[in-house]
Amino acid sequence: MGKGLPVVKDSVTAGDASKPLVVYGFEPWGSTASSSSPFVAKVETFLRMAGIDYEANPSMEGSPKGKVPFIKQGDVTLGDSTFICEYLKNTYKGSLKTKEPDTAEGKAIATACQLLCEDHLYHGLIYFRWGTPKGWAVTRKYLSGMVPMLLRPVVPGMVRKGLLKALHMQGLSRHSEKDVIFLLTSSMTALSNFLGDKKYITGDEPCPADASVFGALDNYLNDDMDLETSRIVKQFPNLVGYVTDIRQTYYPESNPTKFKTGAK
Amino acid sequence: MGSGLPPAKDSATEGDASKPLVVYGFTPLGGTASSASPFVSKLETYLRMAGIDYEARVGMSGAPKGKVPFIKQGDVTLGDSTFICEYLKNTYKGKLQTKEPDTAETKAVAAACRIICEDNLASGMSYYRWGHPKGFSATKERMSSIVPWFMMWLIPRMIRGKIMKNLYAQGLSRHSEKDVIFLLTSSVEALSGFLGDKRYMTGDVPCAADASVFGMLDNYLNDGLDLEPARIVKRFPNLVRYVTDIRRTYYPEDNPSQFSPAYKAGDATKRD
Repeated sequence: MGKGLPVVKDSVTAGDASKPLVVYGFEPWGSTASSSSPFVAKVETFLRMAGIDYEANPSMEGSPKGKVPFIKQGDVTLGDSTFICEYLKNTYKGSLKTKEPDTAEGKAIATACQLLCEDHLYHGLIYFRWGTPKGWAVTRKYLSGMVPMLLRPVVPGMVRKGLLKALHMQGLSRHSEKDVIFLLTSSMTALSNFLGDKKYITGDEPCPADASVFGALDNYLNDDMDLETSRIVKQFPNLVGYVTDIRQTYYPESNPTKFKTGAK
Repeated sequence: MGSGLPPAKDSATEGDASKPLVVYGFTPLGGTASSASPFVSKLETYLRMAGIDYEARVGMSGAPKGKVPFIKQGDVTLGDSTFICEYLKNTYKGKLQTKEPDTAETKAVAAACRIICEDNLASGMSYYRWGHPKGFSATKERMSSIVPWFMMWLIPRMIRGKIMKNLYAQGLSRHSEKDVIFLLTSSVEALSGFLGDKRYMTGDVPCAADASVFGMLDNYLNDGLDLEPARIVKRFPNLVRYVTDIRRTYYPEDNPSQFSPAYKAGDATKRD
């Protein structure tokens, strides 16, 4: 009680591009193009947008910050999608196919879209998938599939309790569902307005923020759980078009997500 | 085990403007213009920007969502600064001196600024004021004026423990300080990019998002704790200019924050 900050090392900022790169994370759910975790989907999408080779490992063992995604490359083990993207930008400098925004306004929009998704819309996903009875019924089935039979009565409920406690601390679940929908819709409106009729958030070429936005919106739209989350996105045709376009470009049928077991 | 979401009522969206409005929150910290809580500061700043009369009370007993700020007006008790601002916009419709953004682009900027401050920079503040050893010892010192001396060994530590747990669940404290500074700087840089050389985030007239940004940046810059958040904001002169301008305009010396000890009840009628 009353202890201060845990001791943590600085994130590695660059590594050896000649070594194989492995990304750890969860499998897809429903029809999501990539992982059911928007942060894993962000990293996989960034790798594809940037043209970086990688292998996927659908597990979480050895996670440095207790979360996925994390990567291993040579001696480097690194967690947190934002620091992973920074690491990749430095390690593969000069060979990236993405384009960073170069004006103050473009940078502001990119950062804002990323934070809208990662610090806000993400919690909405947890609320609906883990909190609501409808979402939980489906989530529990997915989870049971990943857990040994003997632990099935116990583990899913424990994971749910932990996530909902975190959601309560973060604050979203202190609101009624109607108020939650209001808040999420207002963030979604902002995303839609920032995108406008552009192909990507900052113009004609994708940047890391697009990977972040795609990771969140594809999960909102395509987890096939028939939750409020997909209805909210569908109110914005330009966002639906954006997600469809990225799926077609970066996750064609001939090259599906590497997180699907059975995919090469 | 594994029980679901706690029941929560929908927020009231409108009330009776003829009834007195009371706002509950914390006092200022160091040199902050308004409360030490960026959310209370946001609300008080919005009330001043919009030109709405109010009375402030220090305290949190009766908080509907367990947090400050919350308000009472007539039969309505309402928590959460965002829903309070929506309630006020409806209740005082037609009399507000603020101007909400009306183009798709400015609406997006306003929404983004609010999220950047409230869902991102807020965690940075908890990290520094409660997690960082220097920040915590300054926070403790300040608490000694409101916590009985025989509880000082217990209460700050209990609160710290709770906040650290939150911060771990939220994720920020899983990073090193250098990484935290990187993340916070990129958020503050986005705010600076959006502001540019405009007077307010969306133009010449303030909107609710300006109250959010001010509440956070004034706390970052002026809490007198000499921590990294102040240094991060100082790297962006347009943001320092913005905070100074809002302080001068909405918290002049003859009309300090109603949460500050300097405020006297008789000042309630001096609005502008």
